[in-house]
Amino acid sequence: MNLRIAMSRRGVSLTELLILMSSCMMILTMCTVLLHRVMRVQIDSRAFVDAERASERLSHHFRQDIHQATAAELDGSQLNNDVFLQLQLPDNQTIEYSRVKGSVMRTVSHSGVVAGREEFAFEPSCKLVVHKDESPKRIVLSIMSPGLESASDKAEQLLSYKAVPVGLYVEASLSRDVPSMSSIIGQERAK
Amino acid sequence: MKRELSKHPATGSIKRCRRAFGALEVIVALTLLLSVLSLSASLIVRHGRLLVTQRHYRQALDELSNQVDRLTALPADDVPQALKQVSLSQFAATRLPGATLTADIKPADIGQRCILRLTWKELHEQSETMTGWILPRTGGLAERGSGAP
Repeated sequence: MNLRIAMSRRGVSLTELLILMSSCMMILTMCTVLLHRVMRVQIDSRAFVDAERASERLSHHFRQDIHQATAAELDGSQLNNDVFLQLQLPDNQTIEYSRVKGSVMRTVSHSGVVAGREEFAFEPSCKLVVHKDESPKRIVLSIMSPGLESASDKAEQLLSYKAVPVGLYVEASLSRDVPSMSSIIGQERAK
Repeated sequence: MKRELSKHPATGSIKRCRRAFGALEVIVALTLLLSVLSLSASLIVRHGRLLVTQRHYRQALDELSNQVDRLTALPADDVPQALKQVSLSQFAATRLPGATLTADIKPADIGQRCILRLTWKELHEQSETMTGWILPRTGGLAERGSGAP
């Protein structure tokens, strides 16, 4: 009799239902957490790679420009708005570095006409410092994210926490790749 | 009471209609799910470490370039003294864990060759070497390499 009842059973008990629902809920929660984490990682990675790529490109261009420059102007009163560095290159070429809404802009001009522009995107909260050092003569550029403790406002602290930390420190010797007059005279004599 | 029976279309065999999972099947499914989750979690952690390693590598390269730039701009006579006093910048010292910088100078075909090696600690010890040439009068050129110079 019991066997017959068991074989013909068409329903589930409340306990079975609860166990099944709990198991499903646990699995779904785990999957949701993992999915959310993966999406978060993807967003963070993209921001990280963007910041690193901008740092690397800026480091490369900055070093190359300083090496080729014959003169550098850092005095803010002598420069246009937002421009923090102006470099004079041979052949009447000028390169300006400016800060616009956090991003660093590099503008190349030939005889006063703009020939090229490049942007390096950084967070507006990043602090940019440029200064000139002596012996040997070199220009130092540093871009750093502010520390969490240095931000006084809570909203700023939250933004700093969410932002990708940036750390760039470049020192380049001025006019390193500019041939000196003595070497030019030597080459001409050799010819 | 009517027993539920089904007829297999191909074989024509009679099978009892199945309405539940066995405990073994549930355990296998849960084990597979858990292994996928733990694998994903470990991948996320490793990915984070990879990003940090990449940043350290870039900062190490920048530091070496800065040092080589500074050394090659000096007059050739001052370079040996400067190499003795060479030290990490504060930027690199605070960002690269356990970083040490060593410098060496060797004669080359033209002028001298100054070799800088930066070592820092990740999971394993990492090192990067950069070489700059000190030419007798003008400045030098720098070239990057890894491992032993």
